[in-house]
Amino acid sequence: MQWVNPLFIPAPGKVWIAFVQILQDGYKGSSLSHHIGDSLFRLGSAFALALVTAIPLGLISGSSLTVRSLVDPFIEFYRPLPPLAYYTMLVLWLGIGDSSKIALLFLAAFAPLYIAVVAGVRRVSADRIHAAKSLGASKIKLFIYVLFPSALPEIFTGIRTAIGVSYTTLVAAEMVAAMSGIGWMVLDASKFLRSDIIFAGIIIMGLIALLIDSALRWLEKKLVPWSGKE
Amino acid sequence: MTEAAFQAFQLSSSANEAIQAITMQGVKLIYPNGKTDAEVLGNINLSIQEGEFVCILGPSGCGKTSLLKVAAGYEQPTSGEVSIYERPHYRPHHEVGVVFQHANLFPWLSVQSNVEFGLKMLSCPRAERKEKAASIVKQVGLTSYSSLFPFQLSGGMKQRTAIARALATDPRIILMDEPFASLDAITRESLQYLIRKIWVNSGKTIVFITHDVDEALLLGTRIITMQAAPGRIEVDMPNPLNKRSEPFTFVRKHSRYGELRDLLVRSLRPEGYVLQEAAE
Repeated sequence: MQWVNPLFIPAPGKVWIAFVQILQDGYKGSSLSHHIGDSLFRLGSAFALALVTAIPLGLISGSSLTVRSLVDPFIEFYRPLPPLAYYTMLVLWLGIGDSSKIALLFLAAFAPLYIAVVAGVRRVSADRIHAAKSLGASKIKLFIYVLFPSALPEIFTGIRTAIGVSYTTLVAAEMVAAMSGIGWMVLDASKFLRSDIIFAGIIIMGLIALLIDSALRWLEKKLVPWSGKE
Repeated sequence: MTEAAFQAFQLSSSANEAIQAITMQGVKLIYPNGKTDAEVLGNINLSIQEGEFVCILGPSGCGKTSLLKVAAGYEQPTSGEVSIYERPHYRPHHEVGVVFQHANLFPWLSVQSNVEFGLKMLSCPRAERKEKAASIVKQVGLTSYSSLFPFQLSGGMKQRTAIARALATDPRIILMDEPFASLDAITRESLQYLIRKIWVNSGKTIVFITHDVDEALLLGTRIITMQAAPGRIEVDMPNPLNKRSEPFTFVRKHSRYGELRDLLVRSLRPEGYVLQEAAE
């Protein structure tokens, strides 16, 4: 029984077989876990980089108009650009290895994270800052012990948005000169019209995204139980 | 006429020997507001001695909160001088504790950690910090709630925590901005009792803003009333009914309570209102 051309939508059974096959034999010389591992490594390093840069910069920008007016124009300019538009430049600058891919993912994650932190800091009430100062908080301690935790709910929202954005960029990042990665696998399979592998790959990507997001939500509940209850 | 009536309550004070905790000289606060600047405080002269419990009374919008913000170092006066213990004071300082109308606690910290916050800012060692904070938490009666977070507390408990947090760094002056205004009558009374006890035992200087005449009479050893536009001091008098040595509940039973209360209420009315009444 064939309702649609299996090239457009492969039968669930075929997708399952393709999945079992890449699970057992890997895809184009690398095991499935290797593909997933490579992708997550790129995503993870880009994200770690975004966290350690966007959060401090966002905290400073959020509390200083001068810094904000210096940084914001750049971010507002590059944020709406399609990643593929400047990816070629990144490859030219950083080579075809992992670093250009990580840079692309980093740029994708940085903007939403930075914007969320700035918004979080700007929302902190003057009275809260006053209270901390009256309790003897120095400028640096104010950042660490008041502004950062105050912005934490927004930071979490930013992290979840940023993960989503950089995840969508992943396929783009693995389009150029890659030989591994889950995004590359899907792209490569599409060249051979292996829609069963494309579907299997997409489902795997979706499941990983769900897993990451639920882990983040769990972490958010653990770390900011007071969010929305102030 | 009111002036003379208040004179009758004046007591001989030993103000000259006392240590000046807060002094304000010619303090003006003007917010630029287009063509017409808003004069929030107009020429405030005030000196508060160490150990006084000063209640500042005034209708809303009279600038009493602005006065407190200047005293806390949150607002810089447009002109005039503010000193704390005879040092110029234009910045928040841990010697001047502040309790806000809404408890304003740090929502990510437990009661205990909120109280520890100031000590942490002053780099007090961890063990000492824990011990000091625990004893203050006990003093405000929250020991069994010390691990709860602000969102799990009632309004009264939040305000107790806020008081404990302000006390932890052992400030010499505590400024309170209508701290009990949003609490129910029973809770308010228990907190009034608590703050009175803290004041009696510690000898700290307290400046307490309220719009409640009864609260001012109950707690203050000195009562200042303010009038609006521009914010200025109308009446500044010692409270003859309130003595440190007596339980403060005596205040309400005092035979002159009603008379004094009436005078204060009258001084809080807008000027036009007073004139009209005088004409009757």
